[in-house]
Amino acid sequence: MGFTRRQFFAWMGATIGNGFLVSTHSQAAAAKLFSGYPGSLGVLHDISRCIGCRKCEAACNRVNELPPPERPFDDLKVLNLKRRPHAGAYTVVNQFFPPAAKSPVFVKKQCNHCLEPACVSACFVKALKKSETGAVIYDPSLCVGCRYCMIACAFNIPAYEYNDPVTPKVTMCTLCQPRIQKGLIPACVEICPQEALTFGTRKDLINIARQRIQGYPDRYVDHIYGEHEMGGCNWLYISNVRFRDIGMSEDLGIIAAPQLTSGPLAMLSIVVITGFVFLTGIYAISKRKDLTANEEKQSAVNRIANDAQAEINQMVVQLKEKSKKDKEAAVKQEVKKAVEEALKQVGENSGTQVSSQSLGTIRSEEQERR
Amino acid sequence: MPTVFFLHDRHTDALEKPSCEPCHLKDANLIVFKFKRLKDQGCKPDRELYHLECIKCHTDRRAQGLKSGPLTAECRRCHSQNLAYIDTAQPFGMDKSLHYRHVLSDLIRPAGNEKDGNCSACHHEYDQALKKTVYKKGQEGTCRYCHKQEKTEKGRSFKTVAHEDCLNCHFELKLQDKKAGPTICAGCHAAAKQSNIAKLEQIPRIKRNQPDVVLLSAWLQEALESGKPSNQFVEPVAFNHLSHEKQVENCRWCHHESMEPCAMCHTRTGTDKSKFFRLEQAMHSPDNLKSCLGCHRESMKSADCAGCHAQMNARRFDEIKCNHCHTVARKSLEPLPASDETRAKIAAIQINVRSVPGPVIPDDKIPEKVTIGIMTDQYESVIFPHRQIVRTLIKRTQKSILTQYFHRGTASLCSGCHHHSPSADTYPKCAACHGMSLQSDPNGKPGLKGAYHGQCSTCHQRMGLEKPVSTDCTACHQKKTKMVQQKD
Repeated sequence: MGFTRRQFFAWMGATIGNGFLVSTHSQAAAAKLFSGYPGSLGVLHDISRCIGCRKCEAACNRVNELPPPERPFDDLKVLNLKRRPHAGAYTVVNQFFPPAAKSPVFVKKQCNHCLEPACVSACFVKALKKSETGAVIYDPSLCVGCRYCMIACAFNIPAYEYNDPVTPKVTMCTLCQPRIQKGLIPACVEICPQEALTFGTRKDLINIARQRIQGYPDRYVDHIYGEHEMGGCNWLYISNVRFRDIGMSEDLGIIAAPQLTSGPLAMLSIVVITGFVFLTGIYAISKRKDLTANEEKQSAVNRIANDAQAEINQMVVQLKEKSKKDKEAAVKQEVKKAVEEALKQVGENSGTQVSSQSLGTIRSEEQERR
Repeated sequence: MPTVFFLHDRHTDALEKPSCEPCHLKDANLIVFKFKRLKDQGCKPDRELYHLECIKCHTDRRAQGLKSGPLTAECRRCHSQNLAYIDTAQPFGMDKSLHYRHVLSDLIRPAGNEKDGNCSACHHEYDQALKKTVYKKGQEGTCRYCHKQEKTEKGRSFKTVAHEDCLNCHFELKLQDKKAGPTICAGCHAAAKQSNIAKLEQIPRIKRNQPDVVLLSAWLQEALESGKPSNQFVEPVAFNHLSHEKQVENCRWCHHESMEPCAMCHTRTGTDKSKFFRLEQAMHSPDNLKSCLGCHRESMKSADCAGCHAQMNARRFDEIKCNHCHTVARKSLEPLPASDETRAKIAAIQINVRSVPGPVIPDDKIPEKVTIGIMTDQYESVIFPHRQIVRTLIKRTQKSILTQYFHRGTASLCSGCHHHSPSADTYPKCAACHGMSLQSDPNGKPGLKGAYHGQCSTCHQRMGLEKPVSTDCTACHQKKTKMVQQKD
């Protein structure tokens, strides 16, 4: 192939760039504003009320029949370490000492049940689904264990049972979906003594959060975390200290994860198809170029050969003519010589000089007689 | 170029003999605290002056073999804000104790030959006609009324005049070997030195002919001035000026721009001078410390008050009873317009009435122990030491006239916990309104468990009680001995 690698990359780049210009976002996660299914349920976590008693962890463990922990749930010294949800713990409580607060601040951490979850978008087998009640539900029977969901989650929530070799599962908070379907409330919400957790529809929770912030402006930071972060979550937080001081990232942005990837994904098929076609075309063109080159070379050779042949033929013809002329001239010469000899003989016989002229008259007379 | 972070103390320490003269010029025996000039000449000339003089001194010292500062072409060594020095200077101002020490001092002589007090030594006003400062008796105010943060047409900046007036006087006295105030920066601005300033205990009232009681009423004032009865807007307020004086550090707390009456600038529609803050906003704005309501709200944040008040919604303006302050009945003011004496008399009566402490609530009205036996599936009932807590709270409200007045009787104090009650004497059980759900209402009212725990533990936390800790469940209710199966 007469095509350099540099050219190849240049053409590929041009294809992709062109693709960006002409592609539109995919229909799925377009620029519409999705504010959740109507009536979807969530939980409001009031961080100023949490006292770090860890009863929510105990209740979650009990209700989901998780294995017993290494240290019991009433051991509050565990809070000296920062923990994250892991296999066997759908939720943890962490302790923080922000500079602005006079006493330690406790935050409960678990799946935020985003409105447009990154994990649901990343799962290509639909093991993770967003239900209409608001919960993100995990179906272990479909899961293949690729753990793309763990990579995709902006909050680093899904955990994996690495120590289970046979049937490992992804573990994360289920929003107590089985309990909700029976008309109960999530176990952690039920057990919290300080009502730091409030269960209700997302719309109601946002109203409650706004009322609390307005009613107690000295107590709360004026922001509901989860209202817009990563496109919005069903788990909302209000706090008495800045969110960045309590381990909650403030720079996630308000665009949902699927919306971030919808552009390149929509373009993918176009890139593949047009790329394939384009590359085939390039191959064809370069192949044809070779072919053409060959042909031209051949025709040049042929032409030269033909020219040479023509020249030779001409020379042959010329030679032939020349030889013919020569032959004729030679024949004439011989005839002349013979005639002169004959005349000479005749002259000798008759004693007169017969010229060739008279020969000529004799000849012409013979011709007249005939 | 960034501004120069000038290390003044370092320079004064480097002098052989402590003095201001090497850098500061004198104008009629008073040191002018500008660098080697009496007046600012403008940006360029001043800059050249600084460069010339500073570097000259540095060069001279270097020539003598001493450690010195940067020279020419070492621009960023001076023009740098990233030095490893932190400015620990604390702002400084006069408080009542320091003011009184100056008043008492024999070394401070009055400017004229007044016999009663040395106020004229410092207090003055600028007379436009005479084009100089003169002392006007009875109109003394704080320096900051004319000398603001930055220089204005009314006067030089407060920093300039404070340094020039205070320091020059201190210097003069020091030269005479008399005991006077500090003469170096750290003397006033170092935190350690500030805490060492002697504080007098018994400080008499500043003599400025201020009233003891005032009847606050804009419409009454208008009626007096115009001579015609005006629209009688609202019941006047009897204001106890004397007791408020004791609460604040200086007069500027309320008289923030001048000693004129508030309504001069804060009219009913607001004026240019008041930045269009209307009278009712100036009096009632809950977020502003200069307003009555704002300052009272601020005092609710102290540990004595916050147990109940931190839990009260800040935005419920309509729950505030206006007639706590607007107590003067209009009828008592007739015939209008009431004269000054009448007003003063009425105000005094009101204030006397207020200062009377409320009746003692007898023991039989306050249950001693209350057993909270509702929702006992995991823990036993709570034996709540009701009377002990109420008596403690009552004692804490006796600490000041303000709290005493606002918490007389059961209606106010008891409603800290027994809130939203239909009657003031008998209170419904908490469970009547806070349903036994484990959930809040959509409008934010907590369920019963959250209500109990929230109210109790918030009060403990805000009032600074170390015990019981919120996470110590058995401090308030014992765990049930027989195991109760959890309902799933």
